[in-house]
Amino acid sequence: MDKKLKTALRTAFAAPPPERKTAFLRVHRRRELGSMEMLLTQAGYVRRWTWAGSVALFAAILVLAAGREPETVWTASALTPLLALIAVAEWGRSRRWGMEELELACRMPLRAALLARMAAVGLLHFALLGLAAPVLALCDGAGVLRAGACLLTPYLLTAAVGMELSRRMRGQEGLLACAAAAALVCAVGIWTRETAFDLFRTESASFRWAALALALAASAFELVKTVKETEELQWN
Amino acid sequence: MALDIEEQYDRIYRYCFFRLRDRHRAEDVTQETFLRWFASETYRDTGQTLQYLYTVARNLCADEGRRPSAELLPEDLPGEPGDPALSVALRSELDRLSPEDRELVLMRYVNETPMGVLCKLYGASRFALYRRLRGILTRLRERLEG
Repeated sequence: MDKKLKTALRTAFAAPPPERKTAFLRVHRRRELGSMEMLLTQAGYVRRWTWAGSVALFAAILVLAAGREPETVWTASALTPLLALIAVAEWGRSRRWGMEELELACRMPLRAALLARMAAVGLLHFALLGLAAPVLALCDGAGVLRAGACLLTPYLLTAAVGMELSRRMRGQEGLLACAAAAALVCAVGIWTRETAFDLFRTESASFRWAALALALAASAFELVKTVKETEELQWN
Repeated sequence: MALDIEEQYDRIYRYCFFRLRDRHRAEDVTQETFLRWFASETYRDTGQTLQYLYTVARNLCADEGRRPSAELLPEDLPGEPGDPALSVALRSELDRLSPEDRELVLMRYVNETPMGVLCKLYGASRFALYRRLRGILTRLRERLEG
């Protein structure tokens, strides 16, 4: 469309300025739900056993790890995939029970609700791991950063694989596949203890950070894909 | 979707004005549209705010349009600088278009409503709307040149 015609159209459709606009907009505004309010509202919909299970599992990890000095970080790290499994099971709940369409019809769109629930559970888990890292590092004699990286890498890896699997498989099969993936990550963690790929050795620092970066990238990629898929569902 | 309320107020008001041809009634309908949106419990934050606003405005204009109008479209309306002769000719050609075509031109080229929103409002495909808009513009150009 040429500029001349566009300008002429704008002139032809020019309306007299509204007289009461400023006064109206000063008084009336739509009440938007803030991010924190949204997070707290959606956290209320996360099942109680997810919260309780996370804290209980975390406590069990700490107790188990504390009894295996000086391998506390390694033991805890081998068990963090189970924590990620709880998170993935919660995130994929609506899909597992075939409730996505119903959630799309709710006031809060599935995408926003899913993100808020992921954030709520993820924040709790990160807080627990953040608390655990210095305690375990103290028992193990390792640095806090090293302990943090060793705890986060299997957690993120399981979360990434779990998200991918729960998108590909529907129903309880998805959850079973996620559990198998978590067990596999645990097993790999235990197996690498005896190999050159051990994350806990002081001399394999570059490998440890590369593994953490890879796990972070994979989980971010899977998170974006999971959220995007809810948009496609909405569009359909 | 982040929405500039002030900008959308102007657009909805312009839409209502050209539906009703009465500035006071157009402003009443615009405010009623926004009040319904502000108070709406049924609207879901699904990024379809524009579609929601235009649908409410269209329904309210249809209700309001059944009442007799008192004010006609004034000739000396403010506008952007351009060719005054072309604007006058264009205005008379626009009056010859069907109300729905005129509304479509207003919404697409003046209010700059995204095609996705127009498709949902008119229940038509993108292709059909592009073809229809191209046809309207061709007709307008031919009449203006002829």
